[in-house]
Amino acid sequence: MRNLPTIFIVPTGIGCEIGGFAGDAIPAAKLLAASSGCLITHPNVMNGGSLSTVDERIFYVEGYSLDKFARGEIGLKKVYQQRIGIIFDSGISNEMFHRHLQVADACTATLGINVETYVRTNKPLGVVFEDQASGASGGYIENPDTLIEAGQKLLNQGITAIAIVSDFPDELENKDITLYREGKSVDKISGVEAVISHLISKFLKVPCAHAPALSPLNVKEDLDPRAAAEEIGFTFLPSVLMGLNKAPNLVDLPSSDKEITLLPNEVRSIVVPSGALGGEAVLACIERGIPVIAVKNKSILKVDSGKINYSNIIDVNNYFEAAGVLLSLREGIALKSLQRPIKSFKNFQII
Amino acid sequence: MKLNSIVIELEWSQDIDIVDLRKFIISNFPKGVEIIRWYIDDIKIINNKTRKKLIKISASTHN
Repeated sequence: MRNLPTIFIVPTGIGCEIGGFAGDAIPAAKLLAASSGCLITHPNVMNGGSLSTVDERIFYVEGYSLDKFARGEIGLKKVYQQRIGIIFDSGISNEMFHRHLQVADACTATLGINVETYVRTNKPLGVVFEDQASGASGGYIENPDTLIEAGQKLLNQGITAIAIVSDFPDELENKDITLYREGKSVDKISGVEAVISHLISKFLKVPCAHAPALSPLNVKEDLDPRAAAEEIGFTFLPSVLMGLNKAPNLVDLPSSDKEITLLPNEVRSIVVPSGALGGEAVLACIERGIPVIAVKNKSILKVDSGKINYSNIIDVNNYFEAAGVLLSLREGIALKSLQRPIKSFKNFQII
Repeated sequence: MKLNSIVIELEWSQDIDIVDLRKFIISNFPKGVEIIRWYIDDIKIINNKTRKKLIKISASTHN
């Protein structure tokens, strides 16, 4: 059976019921990878703090680069293994810094990941939180140049993929974090995380992903299971290193490289939450007439099929249905054949 | 380099097809601004008769 390359997006920081927490869209990603045979997704889906999964069918691509891929500007090239370097925000406490160094040791010793070197930023990144009017999480860093400079130092040493660990202020220990841990709020830090990793992708054009360095929180007995993967270790770095280990190289198009594994024009569908149809990757896929599978997955955004006039949106109730749609497309089974009622063919004359 | 968060509101008239919407949005970002990240935050129908809509876009940018 031929693969059906599919982009799978769960946007960061919009409080998705599935995927708005700690890697809690990974089971959906595994299901969609199995049904499509080839899934292109991003760290917000695959990073579950201490937990992640490895699947040869899944391409791990940071959000900015994923948008570029959807726009047809880059191809993805599989690698045997990336040479990973880590950027540490110089604002991180000494204890947290050593906790993260030990994650690199653990991933090398236990998982065989090639974490080669690290660099500390010259200045603290200066993370600032800023809520959007919609309630989506947002923010920025005060010193973006120091981030890019640190990343460039890693590339100069031959590093091919970058993990970034930023210091996040303790002001997070407030009502929002409590609500997030109870599964009742958006992830307030994820908007800034996206900005940080997008900057590396934009300026350095290599695979990358971000892990926040947060002081350990007190144990919470009524913790939502979806947030639990962020509570079982001292850092969120393991999943980032697991994802980057075999993240594909990003090849600017057009290219004469004959070994590109996946080109944008091979993508056959995109799966997104039904209220998040206003992202750049979705709109880029719409430009090319690609089917958009809009999955009911409650979030704070309401940009749904009722507001977007596109005939190739397939609304489904859950990821089980989405997997069924992908399998139908992959097997060449017309979707209308599986739906009831079926309109009689006599109604389809072109006049 | 300095980062900013901005919100843009655009009227989306019926003569701009959905397949052209992305390029329409990008062409309406303020001049001199480099985009890091953007998404449509909300779409409101402002005229039922003409189907004119108002799109609100949230973006992270740098100079």
